Amino acid sequence: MSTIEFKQISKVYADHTAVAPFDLTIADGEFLVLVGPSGCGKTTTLRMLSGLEMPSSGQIFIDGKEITHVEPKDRDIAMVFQNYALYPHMTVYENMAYALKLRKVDKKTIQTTVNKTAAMLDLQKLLDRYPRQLSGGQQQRVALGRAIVRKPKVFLMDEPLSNLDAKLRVQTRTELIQLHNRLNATIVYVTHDQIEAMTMGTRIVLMKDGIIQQIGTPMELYRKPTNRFVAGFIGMPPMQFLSGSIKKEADFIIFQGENCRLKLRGECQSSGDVYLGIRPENLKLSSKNQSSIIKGTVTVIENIGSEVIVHLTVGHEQLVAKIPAATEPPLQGDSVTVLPDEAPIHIFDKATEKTIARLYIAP
Amino acid sequence: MIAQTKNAFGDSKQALLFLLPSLLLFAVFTFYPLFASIKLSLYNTDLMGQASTFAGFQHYVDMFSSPQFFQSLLVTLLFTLYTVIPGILLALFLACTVNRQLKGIAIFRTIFAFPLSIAVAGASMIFMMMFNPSSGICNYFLQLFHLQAVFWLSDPKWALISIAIINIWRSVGFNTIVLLSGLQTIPEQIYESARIDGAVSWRQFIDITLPLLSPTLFFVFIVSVINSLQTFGEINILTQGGPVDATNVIVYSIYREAFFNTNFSYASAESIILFFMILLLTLLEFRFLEKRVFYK
Ligand SMILES: Nc1ncnc2c1ncn2[C@@H]1O[C@H](COP(=O)(O)OP(=O)(O)O)[C@@H](O)[C@H]1O
Ligand SMILES: [Mg+2]
Repeated sequence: MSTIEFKQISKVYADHTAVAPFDLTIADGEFLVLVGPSGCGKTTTLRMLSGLEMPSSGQIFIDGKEITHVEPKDRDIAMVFQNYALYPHMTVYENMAYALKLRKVDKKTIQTTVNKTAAMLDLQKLLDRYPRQLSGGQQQRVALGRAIVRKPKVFLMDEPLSNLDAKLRVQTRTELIQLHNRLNATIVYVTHDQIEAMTMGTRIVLMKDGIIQQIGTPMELYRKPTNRFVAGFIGMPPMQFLSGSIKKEADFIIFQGENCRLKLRGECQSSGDVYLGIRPENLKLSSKNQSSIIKGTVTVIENIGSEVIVHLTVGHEQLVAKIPAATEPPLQGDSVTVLPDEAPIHIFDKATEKTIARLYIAP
Repeated sequence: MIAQTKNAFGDSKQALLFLLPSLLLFAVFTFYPLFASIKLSLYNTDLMGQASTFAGFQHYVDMFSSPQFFQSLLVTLLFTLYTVIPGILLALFLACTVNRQLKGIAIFRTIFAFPLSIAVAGASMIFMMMFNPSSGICNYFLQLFHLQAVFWLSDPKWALISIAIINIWRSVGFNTIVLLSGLQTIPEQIYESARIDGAVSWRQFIDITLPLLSPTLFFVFIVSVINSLQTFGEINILTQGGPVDATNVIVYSIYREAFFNTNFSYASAESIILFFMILLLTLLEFRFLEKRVFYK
């Protein structure tokens, strides 16, 4: 059982706020992912939880016990660093055994624990090697093993996959998910990669400029982004935006933009200038529809096999559509019309960029 | 294949050309005196220091049966002990302290480089005043704590220690700068990792700092030993090997034998022994450094 609770935690450096005060409760066994662009305060948040950084305000609890000013070693946490931070003068075995040795665990127990963990991570043959004799992927597994042998209450990981090549990253991602299921551990994981966040997290905390934008499950963030930033961060390619204005017309809401007019249904109280957000996977080529239309010119075609990604210019704006490879793709320079499918269309206030409505295309 | 060898040969020729100036300097100022010394140590010399008759290993035999030589050897050994160990410990302490405060590091570096820029004669004069039994600041402090005055330079029990203090003062800055640069190559995250693993400060020092600093420490150790073995200026200015040979290290003994006793052959024999001592240390260091192409 290990729950974590942040209460009004913040971090202020000399002249700027790295992390604005926030509350967050992490349940036992969660795989919580802190995600956001570089410099948004993810690492700082993680380091405050680890005890390597002292918060400027607020309290942190682990299992109901306040640990805000407790030394890292007494928090019962383990951390995997981005560059692994293995001890270069110790063998893989010694690296993994070090924390246990410091805790005065007897030799026999250390040996069985390390060997068991090594077997789990496929490291048995490397136990006598030094970190410099290992590949990046192997070093990463040692760093993981060093954390696992401790059986900590919480695992902290700061971009542990970012130094791996693309293929290994995908593979390790899966392994980490399996590991989480197996250890039933609470993991707080930092990444700037939304795909990692989406695939691994049981819950995601999306940050920007030290401020939490949204907390929710991956699908909540995907389906119901609370603002334009979240909408544009999640998804590959991310959500596309067109600017224009909305107004009520009978039972419908009309969005009018440059080279673009959509007849929408659903609840929306406001009118005026907005951004309209559509995911590329929800755009279809040239469907016949009298009342709605988006007219664009194809600038680039990216065929990735399973899908074709079509880049368009709509008036002065860019739009990306992801269409199935089976459809005959248009050619560069073609004038095309695209339309959203039945999925929700997001409306964001132009000034605040907050989500004000989710509407659907009218037939 | 052939082209490659040719190329390599051409390269080494070119390299030789670039090395020529320093090789020439070495030949004139290092190799020639070395071989001249070896020759002198095997001959009897006249008053002008010119080799006259062949003596074989007679001077070496004389040297190894002379109690004065062993006294010099002992003094040299003690001097090395007094300077190297406390000197490195002090430098290590300073380097670790400064390493924590990265902000003022440039200022500290300048301060540490300061003793290096003072000539040995200047340093000796400063310490001569400080060591003065009646007006020096050292005895003034002893007196403050109601301790007996010490005849720093004229008491045989203290003279070698006093010279050692000067030597430490002169080298501690260099040692600190070198150790500091060694400390800076140890990534901060390794310490953080150790903190999370449960290592308290002194544990981090023993388990992380010392092993990762060991190549630098070893370098500083060898340089300090060699530096100690070659100490001459302070002794020549302040004690002239005395009182009662208490500071008569080998280097000073060589000087005295050659230029006071005009015993050039004996002095040459002594310098050859010193040469081999230093050579051994240097080889030791290269061996050590080669064996550990560390952790990177
Ligand atoms: N020690 C520090 N001193 C001053 N500013 C810092 C320090 N550490 C981080 N910051 C600043 O705090 C912000 C958040 O940094 P960080 O948490 O490392 O971001 P992330 O991990 O999300 O990329 C950044 O603007 C960064 O420049
Ligand atoms: Mg970071």
